[in-house]
Amino acid sequence: MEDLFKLAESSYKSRLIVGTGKYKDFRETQKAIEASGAEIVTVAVRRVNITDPNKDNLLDYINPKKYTILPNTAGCYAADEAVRTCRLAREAGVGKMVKLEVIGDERTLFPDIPATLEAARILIREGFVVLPYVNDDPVTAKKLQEMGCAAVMPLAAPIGSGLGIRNPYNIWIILEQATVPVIVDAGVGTASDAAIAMEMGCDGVLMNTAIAGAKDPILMAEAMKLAVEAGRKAFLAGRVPKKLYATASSPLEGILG
Amino acid sequence: MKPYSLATGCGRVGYGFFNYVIVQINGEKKELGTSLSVTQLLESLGIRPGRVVIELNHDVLSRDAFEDTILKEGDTVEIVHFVGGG
Repeated sequence: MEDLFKLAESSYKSRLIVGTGKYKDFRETQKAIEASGAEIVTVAVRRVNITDPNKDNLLDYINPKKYTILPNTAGCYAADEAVRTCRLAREAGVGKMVKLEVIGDERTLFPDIPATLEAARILIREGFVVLPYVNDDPVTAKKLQEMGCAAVMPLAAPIGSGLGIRNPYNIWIILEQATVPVIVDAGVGTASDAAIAMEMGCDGVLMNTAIAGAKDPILMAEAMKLAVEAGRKAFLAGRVPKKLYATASSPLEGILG
Repeated sequence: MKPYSLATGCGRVGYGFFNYVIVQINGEKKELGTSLSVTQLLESLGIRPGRVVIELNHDVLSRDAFEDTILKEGDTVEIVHFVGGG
């Protein structure tokens, strides 16, 4: 049976969601996304440079007919700014799913939880499908899922830090109580970090810097694709328990005397 | 093509001579010719309307309204689009 990633009303084959920031150019963005196998791609909303508007547009490279475009509210520090950004994004005609992030601190980029909850409440009321970026706090995750968010997206570690999952125990608690998909968002550094998230039972992983910031982003994109697939399969297969002492793999009978 | 119609330098708003309005576009003050629609503004800026979203005075402006919306003195316009982000 095919293992599909169900998110809101849609099903996806890939459990890897990738960002489009920090690439050298749109060509590299396009190639990395292709190599990642991702079907959901995050984008940011920004002012057009009106003195030089004839530059290429991201959507000329990332076809919205082929990919689910997930606009984010990166850079918003207040609930109303995030809501405003989402309303603009929706008008672009790429659907009603948004990655909500309301930042609370410039240095850590940790979320402002009261503002995130407030923005989520307004956006859900307005018919958005809300995927909120949160810290690895089970209480907040629970509030967001109860409110009607389509997923919860706890961070592994600070955005762009590449530290991997800092508090697997909290992620486990979030997973245990989850009624919506859990997507680890931010802080993944390399393939094993993504695999660990998936082995733990997360439904997906969202990343940008880990791919775009690698020396060879396209090769790393492929590594992440494989890591997410491997981790997911390992989770479904069910790992052996960890034990302190050895258990022989070869039969004990018939050993030469 | 000029990015926007410059005033020819006669009069001030309210004096009856004026032939321009001052509008804030993406945070910058611009002088525009009177009776300029949003569609015409985008054209004069060389922006493809299909790839941008417009906010007029803090409200999202539907694409269907671009043609019929005439910019007025003191309007605040935001022209945004999608860029790379995580």
